[in-house]
Amino acid sequence: MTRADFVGGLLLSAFFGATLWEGWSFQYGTEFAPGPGFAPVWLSAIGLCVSLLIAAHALRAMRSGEGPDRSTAPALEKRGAMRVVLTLLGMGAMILLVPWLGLAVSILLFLLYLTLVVQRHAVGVGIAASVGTVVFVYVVFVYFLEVPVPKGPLGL
Amino acid sequence: MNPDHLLLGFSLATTPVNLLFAFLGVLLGTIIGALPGIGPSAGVAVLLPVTFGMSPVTAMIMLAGIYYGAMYGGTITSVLINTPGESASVMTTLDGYQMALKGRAGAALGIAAIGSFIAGTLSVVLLMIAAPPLAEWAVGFGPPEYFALMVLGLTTLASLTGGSMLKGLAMALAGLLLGTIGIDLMMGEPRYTFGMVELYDRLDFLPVAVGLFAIGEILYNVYRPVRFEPIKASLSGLLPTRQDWRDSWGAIARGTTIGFFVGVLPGAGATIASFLAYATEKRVSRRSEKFGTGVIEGVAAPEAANNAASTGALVPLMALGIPGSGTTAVMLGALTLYGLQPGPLLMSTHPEVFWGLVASMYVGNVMLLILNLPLAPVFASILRIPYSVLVPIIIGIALFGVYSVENSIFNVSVAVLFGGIGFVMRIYGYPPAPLVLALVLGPMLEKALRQSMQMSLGSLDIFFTRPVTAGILAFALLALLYPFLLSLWASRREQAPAGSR
Repeated sequence: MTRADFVGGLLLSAFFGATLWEGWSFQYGTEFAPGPGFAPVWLSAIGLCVSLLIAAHALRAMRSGEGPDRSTAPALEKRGAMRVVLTLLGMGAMILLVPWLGLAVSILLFLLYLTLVVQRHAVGVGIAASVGTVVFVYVVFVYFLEVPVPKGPLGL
Repeated sequence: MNPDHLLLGFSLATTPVNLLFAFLGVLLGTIIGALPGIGPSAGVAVLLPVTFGMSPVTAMIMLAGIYYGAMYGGTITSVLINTPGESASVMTTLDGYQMALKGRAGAALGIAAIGSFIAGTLSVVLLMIAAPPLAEWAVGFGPPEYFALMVLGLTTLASLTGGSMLKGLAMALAGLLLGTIGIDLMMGEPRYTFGMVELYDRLDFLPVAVGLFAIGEILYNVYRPVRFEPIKASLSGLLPTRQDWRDSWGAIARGTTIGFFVGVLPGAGATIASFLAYATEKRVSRRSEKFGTGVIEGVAAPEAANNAASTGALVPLMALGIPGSGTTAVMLGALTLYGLQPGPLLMSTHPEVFWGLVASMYVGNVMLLILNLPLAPVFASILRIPYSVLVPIIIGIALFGVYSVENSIFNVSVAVLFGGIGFVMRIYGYPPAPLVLALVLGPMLEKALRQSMQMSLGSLDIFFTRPVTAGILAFALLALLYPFLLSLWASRREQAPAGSR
């Protein structure tokens, strides 16, 4: 266990604490059966205990100077983490663009951004992989499976 | 077993359309399995939307093909570049790669293909024998028994998933909580919806599964790109020699038996099956000291076990409607998306789904053998495509697929959100399978709990006074406590010699 496990345990505790707080607002029980609040309250309470245990184990291991065990996570590599953040931001932008540009064009722009900016592929490889993917999924989902997709100004 | 049912299954499985999709399933599964980082769970989740236009029988045939195809596909990278394509092939690297270094990669892949075929075929026979009586017995189950079975599935998966059991348990609890999102069906009260209309009708499992299994893995690859080692091994001599056969047949038989029964246990899965099969083989072998240096039975046993386990995992899924792993949880979700009600009645109300699937697995295993013996070098050549080029292809299919489930951009947002969460979970060692399984089982689990309590007028006694329920819950408790008891026993053993010194 490491510092990361300690922080992870605390974050999970915050999540379960929040769901427990919200769970109290649901009706806990009816006359003879659990109500809508029963499962959320109990699951959150048990989850809170488990996540506090994770944090406590990590803290104890950190204090006793125990070596890392097999569940230990390595420290984040900054460059790789930046690529992940950029990818997630790109996905977020893609979702926001769908109402204006349509699904296919938004995904195409995202894939071009992913391959050319984030992964830094050669331009030809990036364009081929992105355009090829969108053409393939468009044919499968829109033509064969007849999935109605939001379309943009290009009619795609 | 009614022979008419099997005939019905074969009449369905051998139609040109179903043969085509079984072939596509095993082909795609083999490719997915061969690619490190994309396991069967991600493969089935990403390709599930492609099956929406198909009949449920055809769709299940294709999804099952992907599942057991991926089990074999993982072997190729294990043997050729010492990198398991999916976790169930980890044990194969130990002797498979050593065989490749000695110029026997062909024999390793050959025995893996033949062992997988034998194990796959025998375990389909066992599936056919075991599932119908189990379903017949389970028809009498009430909500308390179902509640107990689902608890058993979750606890075993959480505790056997590898790494920290507490983390597995926390993920299962988080998944159950996510399963409570939406309008409560009994009282009509919205839970955790925060005014979002899209959440009123529950959180769809597919965007969550695609996010955690596929997008999370892809993000991990963006974070730390996979670089394949160049393949040095030659791929000649795929057919085993007579000596190879003599060394392997017992390993294949034991691997099949262990794999199938471990696969049937909810939560145990193919990874544990292959580990146990390898350990058993090492124990019974007359040349156990040579394990890890490239002995053929070290490849045959885990490969037979992981294929048998993937078929064994279909027993609780098809007979009880209870998935035991991340992949079978996605397949259960698929059944509900096709409008089928999973559970013991599925076999009597929709015999074509179960028997079509069973028959297709006989056919699919033959296809897998035919594909894998001569085409192993072709699959190996996939590894020459840089993985980073496959990233946009997988993401594109995943995003379009998630959208197509309900034609909803909201679902795409959920998949992206859970992709980010899946990446963080991957980095910090939190397993995604218990979360997905719990999300799928959560609503059923809560319904069973509430119905049970209604039956007992609010008393918890109902879980302890019914023998089957109490027995299953006792197993669940044992599964939960087992790792603690094991570490307690180990520390006592360590202390004993220290104290005696």
